[in-house]
Amino acid sequence: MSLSFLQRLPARGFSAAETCLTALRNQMTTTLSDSRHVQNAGYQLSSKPKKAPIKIRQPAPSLLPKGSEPKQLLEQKLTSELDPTGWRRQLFQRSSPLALRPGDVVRVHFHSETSHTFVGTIMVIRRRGLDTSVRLRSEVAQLGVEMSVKVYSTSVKNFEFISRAVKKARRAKLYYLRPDEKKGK
Amino acid sequence: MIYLKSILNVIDNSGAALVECVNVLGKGNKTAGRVGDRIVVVVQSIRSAKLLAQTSAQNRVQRGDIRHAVIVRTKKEFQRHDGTVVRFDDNACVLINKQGEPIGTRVMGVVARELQQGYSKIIALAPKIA
Repeated sequence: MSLSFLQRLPARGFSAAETCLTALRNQMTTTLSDSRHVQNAGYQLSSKPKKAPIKIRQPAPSLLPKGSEPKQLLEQKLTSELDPTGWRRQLFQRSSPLALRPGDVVRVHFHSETSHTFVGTIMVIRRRGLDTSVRLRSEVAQLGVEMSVKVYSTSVKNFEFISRAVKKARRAKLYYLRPDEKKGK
Repeated sequence: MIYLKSILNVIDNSGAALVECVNVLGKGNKTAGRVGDRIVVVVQSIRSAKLLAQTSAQNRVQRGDIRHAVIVRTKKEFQRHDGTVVRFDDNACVLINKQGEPIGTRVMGVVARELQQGYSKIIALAPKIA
């Protein structure tokens, strides 16, 4: 920056510092070619159009009363639909007097054109509420067949109780009824 | 789950006793065979001549024959649409010809209900259906 401009300035008694600053400002103003500069520019601020404000939606009104348990309500609703008379609960609830136990022999009747049934010993009762299933094992034509039946399935018509376990099983899950592969058949 | 090298029992009177799976047909690469699937098998052992009395000499299979078969039982459990899960204690098949008809005239033992689609002849011959 040359100092020759100092000679061109009117002698009006300004201080040297002020004179310098003004000169500097003027010089910078003239050298900047971009017409969109802002006042104290040594840099350019972007002047893009402002974005539209983000819409904040209000939450939808709740379908359930406040403080209610949706999972429990759903389970109650489905249980009343799938088991209105309650016979499935009676057979598979531990406390019920009619409850089935591992070791009992049971015949399942299915809703089908061929009146499909399956007889077997209860090996496993898997209690999971609506997802409760019972695994039956039987020998059909000298071959072991296992069937795991969903208790609350609409295709299950009935569980017919045939006989109680001879001796109360000392296990909840009777996997030992399967043949031992290593010993040979 | 039946695939290459699986040994299956043969439950018809075609003559074969044990077969080894060589290929699972109609499925993607390395997809295991399930009940109702068609497989290519090699006969590994045959039954005694007494049982074969009913089968004609043409239909009788020899050791080393390559045949088609349909899987009728698997030890691997399979699920039905109503959530029922079924499992047999062994893997078994019935030998069939290229048209899907059984070679033998009798079927011994249990077969799975899944054969109703496509293998009604085997279902008709089967003494028990699970």
